[in-house]
Amino acid sequence: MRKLSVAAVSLVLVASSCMDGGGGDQRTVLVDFSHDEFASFMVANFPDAVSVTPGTELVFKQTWTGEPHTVTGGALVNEMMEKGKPFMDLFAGFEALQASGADLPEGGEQPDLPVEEFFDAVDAADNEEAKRQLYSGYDALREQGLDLPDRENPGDATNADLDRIIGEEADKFFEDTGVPWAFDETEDGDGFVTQNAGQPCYLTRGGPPKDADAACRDAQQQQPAFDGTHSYYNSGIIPYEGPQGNTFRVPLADDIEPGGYFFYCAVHGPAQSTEVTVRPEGSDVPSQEDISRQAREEIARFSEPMQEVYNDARDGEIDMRGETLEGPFAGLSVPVHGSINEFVPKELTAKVGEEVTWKIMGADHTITFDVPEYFPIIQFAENGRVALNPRLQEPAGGAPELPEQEGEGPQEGEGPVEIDGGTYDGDGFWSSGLTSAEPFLAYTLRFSRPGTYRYACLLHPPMVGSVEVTR
Amino acid sequence: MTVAVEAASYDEHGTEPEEPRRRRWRAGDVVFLVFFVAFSGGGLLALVLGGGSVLASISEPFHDSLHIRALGTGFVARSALRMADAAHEVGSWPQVAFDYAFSILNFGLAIFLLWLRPRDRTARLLAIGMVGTAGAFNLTANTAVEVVPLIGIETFGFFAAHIIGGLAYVYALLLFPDGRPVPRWRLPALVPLYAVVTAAAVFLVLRVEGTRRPATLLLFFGLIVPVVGAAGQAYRFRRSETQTEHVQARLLFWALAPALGVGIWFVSTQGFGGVTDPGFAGRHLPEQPVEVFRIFQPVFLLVPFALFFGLQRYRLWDIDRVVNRTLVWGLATGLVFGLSFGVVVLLQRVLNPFTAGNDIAVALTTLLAVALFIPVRRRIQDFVDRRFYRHRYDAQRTIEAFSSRLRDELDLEALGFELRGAVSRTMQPTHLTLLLREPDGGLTWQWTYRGRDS
Repeated sequence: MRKLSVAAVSLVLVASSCMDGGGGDQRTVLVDFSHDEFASFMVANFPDAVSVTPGTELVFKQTWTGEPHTVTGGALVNEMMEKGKPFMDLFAGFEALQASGADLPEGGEQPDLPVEEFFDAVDAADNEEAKRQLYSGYDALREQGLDLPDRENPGDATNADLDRIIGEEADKFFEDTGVPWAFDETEDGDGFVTQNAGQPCYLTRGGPPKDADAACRDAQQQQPAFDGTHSYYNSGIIPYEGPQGNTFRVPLADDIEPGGYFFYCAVHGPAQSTEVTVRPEGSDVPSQEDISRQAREEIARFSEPMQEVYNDARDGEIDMRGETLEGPFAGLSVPVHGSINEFVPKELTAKVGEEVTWKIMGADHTITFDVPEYFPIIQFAENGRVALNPRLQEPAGGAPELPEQEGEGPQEGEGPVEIDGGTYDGDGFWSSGLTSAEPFLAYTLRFSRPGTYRYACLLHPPMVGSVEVTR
Repeated sequence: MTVAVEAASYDEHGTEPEEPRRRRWRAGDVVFLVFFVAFSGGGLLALVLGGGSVLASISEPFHDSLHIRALGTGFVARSALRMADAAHEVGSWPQVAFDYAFSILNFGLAIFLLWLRPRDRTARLLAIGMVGTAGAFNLTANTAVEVVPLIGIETFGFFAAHIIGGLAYVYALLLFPDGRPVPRWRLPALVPLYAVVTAAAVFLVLRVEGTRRPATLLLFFGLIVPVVGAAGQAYRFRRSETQTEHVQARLLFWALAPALGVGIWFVSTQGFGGVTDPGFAGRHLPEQPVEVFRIFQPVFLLVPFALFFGLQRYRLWDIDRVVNRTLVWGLATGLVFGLSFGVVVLLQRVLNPFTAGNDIAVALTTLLAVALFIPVRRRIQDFVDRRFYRHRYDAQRTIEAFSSRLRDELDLEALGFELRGAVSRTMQPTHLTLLLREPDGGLTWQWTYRGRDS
């Protein structure tokens, strides 16, 4: 009996270790993450830096939040990240300081504020990590040659000067990073998936086609091990594998040169990246558990301000730029790179003919009734072509056309965008279309018949709600 | 001369004592055992995941460690993620306690039945059905399993467990207690009928997923199981030949009636629309049908209770012998253990001034426990027999007394009188006839005694 017990325990241990799937030379990095208390997406990789040895297989594990992602690396990306990282550090540090309560002016606010006072406000903040990040980005940009005032001796420079210099240089950088975006915005506001970055491409020299509609050749789409000499190494948009998430694996060649290699998302930009440091064979590198612990800490830091916003929204109102805003909300803006993808509250009540107004914010969302089977935003054709699903974007069922959105959002003094969606009679497919605005979009709808109407966002799978309409 | 006694002996309920049959383990038995262990393992895994989520909800460090483990890949990482994520969905303490009491009771009964009748078809089906119910009707465990999308073998295991557990329950209720299928048709007519029931059950169970789950649970446990089970037992009730079968069928029928009543009430008042979200197909929405769980859990608790009560009351499957032994050995072990503990504490205090450690106290107590166990068990056996099995206890005492009289009594007539008394008291026969075997082999009638009930 004892032998049998020992055998059974051994079998269980062996089986569990086999099922764990964690080979010794594997390291997992998370792409995006959904909080366990609310659906969300986070424009970040966790952790943002890992150290490995040659021959390791990097597993990029994408949490399925509805957002598409790529894993893109290579010499072109390294070059771009070196230029772009200071901007990312500067912006991320600034956002983190704001999220932790520092009294820092928004872009465009308080133009006459002396830079000295701006830095005083930064120094007064108690988030040391965010301060370090902001200063590191600022100093690196000065080293790159940007005409930014010295922190110790800023002279007469004002907040407007900072905004102008950083804004212009950042625009210049993001307009031409030297690496194509996988998701592009045309001038009329329509988004589309580019083929040169949306499809896989692995190049040893040169860049992908300049034409956004041209994909790399078939032979260039066969994934090799990453040996560090690739000029461009792109997963393309990672295909949808199911609600459990998607995975993209990067085998590092045994003969890869030690050094630093960036992998970023060509949909969401340099903010979502991981720096992979390859150390010489035999070096002591962090275990998967160490990496997971680091990722968990980063997630906790990242999601802390999200949790606060979510708690406020569940209590009925949130603070937006100093003003109190009441629900119902369709998504929630958060002071970090990401959003909360929930209808808050989930269940609403209304009388027939009464207006229900959602405040759409945080990311693009739809308000859709008679919800079809969930479909991912990206379609993959047999010939490899990737495209946005048109059903997702367009208004349907009699919903009005969406106004064209220009720029990043309204300027100072402008109110939110308001749309009257009309009346839903409870019959058939009805969708607002994919829409958003800064700071939010107020979308109003009425119901002509009593009943319980379930609705969802077509882009974000866990974003669902219901309206109970009574006479 | 040989004395032959012809007696028709029945117990107080009219059930003939079952002759225990012993046979070797066959390949089919081993296959079933392996299957049952695997099936139970799946159910236990679900319960462990649910338990882990409860622990994670009260322990922040454990919750964090699960999240760290969950960041990897593979089955263990997904299990850790399940527990960590489900920690936010854990219900109140009474709800969790009820979930686990329900599961443990069903699990315990399943193993008990199997231990009792390891080769009995109905017992096996009941055991599988109960293990399935233990997993399927534990809201805490289900939340932990479904909070993360099922993939690959998990999906297969989930559906297979529901199909097997559900079908086993339906068949067990049809076959209980004698293992003979109802209705009493010939096989060619019976097969299509069972095929229809099987197909309907499998179809429904395959729909136990995501947003369709509440309505499916309602249909399956609120209508299919009670309708099929109650119909089967009603048929047995009408066709039963003995009073015992009659009562058994009635017992199970009434145990299933509340489930049927609640199912009909739920559907007629709320329909399926109130508990299903067909509009959210394709989305992983792990919300559980709390209402359905909370209503059907207590109702379905009646079935194992009725089965256990039926088995015990009508002494089916030698259950009284098992209950007797469980009582005796449980009490004896508990008493000796408790006594040992007390003695250890006492001896430690007494011996402490003389000995540095407590080894002597433990050694002495162990010896004492060994010495005490057998007499204690005998006394408890005696007590249990007297208290709970008076009839059997009296019989034993009567036979012992008759045996001692047998050694001294020489008068045949007086011996016959003693024999009649002993047999009447121990076996309560409806009639008793004494026949004496003559030297030539023939039998001579002496007397016939009519019992009280004859």
